[in-house]
Amino acid sequence: MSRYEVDKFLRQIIMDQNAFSAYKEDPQLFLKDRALADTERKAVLELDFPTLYSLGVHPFLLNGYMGLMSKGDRGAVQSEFRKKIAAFGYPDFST
Amino acid sequence: VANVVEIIGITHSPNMGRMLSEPNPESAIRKSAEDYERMRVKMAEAKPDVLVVIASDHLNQFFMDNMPAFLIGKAPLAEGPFPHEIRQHGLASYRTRVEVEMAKDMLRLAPDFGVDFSFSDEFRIDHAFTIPLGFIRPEMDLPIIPIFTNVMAPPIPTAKRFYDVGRMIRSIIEALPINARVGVLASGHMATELGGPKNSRYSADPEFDRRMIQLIGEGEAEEVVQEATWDRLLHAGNNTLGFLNFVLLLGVAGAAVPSAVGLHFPEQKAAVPFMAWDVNQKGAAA
Repeated sequence: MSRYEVDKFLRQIIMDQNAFSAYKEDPQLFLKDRALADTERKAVLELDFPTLYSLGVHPFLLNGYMGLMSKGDRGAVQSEFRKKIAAFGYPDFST
Repeated sequence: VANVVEIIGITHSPNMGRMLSEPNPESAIRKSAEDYERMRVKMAEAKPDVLVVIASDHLNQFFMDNMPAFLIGKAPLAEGPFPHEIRQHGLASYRTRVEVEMAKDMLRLAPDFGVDFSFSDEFRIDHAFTIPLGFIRPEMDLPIIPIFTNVMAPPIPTAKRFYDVGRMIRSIIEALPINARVGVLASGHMATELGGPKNSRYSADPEFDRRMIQLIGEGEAEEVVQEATWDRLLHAGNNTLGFLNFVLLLGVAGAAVPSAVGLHFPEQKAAVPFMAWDVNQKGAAA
């Protein structure tokens, strides 16, 4: 299951500052050898948080990722995100 | 013999420290601070020799590459939280000894009581442990036995299983071949949501929170177990599974009516619960 690979990547950059720096430096390279599905890779690289949510990425990790990657008004980003995912309900996030 | 002398459950919300130290706190926060201080005093007055601490891990120490449902930590030292948690939330550190021999005895006895714990000889404790310990035992002078539960990565054990494991933990403690006064501390929370469609700055489901605390207050453990299904917890808020540690605590308390229980609703934070059972305080356990 590639959902596991997305969760694993998110956890790594949330916990490890060096990994986070390397990812910011070159996101495509950082993800190159990871077994993400094309839809997942695209959503990660485009910071498409709602799509990641709909794919069942772990919400706790996704929340951490949004915190790391969002610039500016965090409240506004969260509010926009909540509106966009309302229709998805609670997708299965098991791996 | 080992006796349980006090049983306490409080939240591990990482906002708690900051919230309680605000200069002009709203009433709900002031009352939360008073009640958490009452919980600290209760545990102190019970004079425990050791604390069994039931808490979760937020995919920090344990991840889906190797996910235990219930695990006893038996490394000599428990220390936390994780550096990224300190960076994100400005959390205080906590560091204390683990009562390794007692942890080993619990592991050895557990299968006879119906639970096969995983174990770990190398771990960090995250904010689920350090925040409640910081409130209840700020001196960091008591050894602990950390019991980790999986409330993060599905499939998560059922409420019935959490409750039963709580009952088993009580029996295991009382079967230990040592003299000790044991305090039990559980770390959980009420309806919360993170990274989901509900606003995470408030209780994600006040109705759930009130209902569950009312049932706990009435000693209606079986009703709590019946109502705390996967679907109900998830729809109360996607991070509400942490409530299951309180369900486990109900098992430790043997479905008794608590000595103290309550819930506060700060305006822009998750609900703040507390529950305590005073046990055997006059007994000659030590």
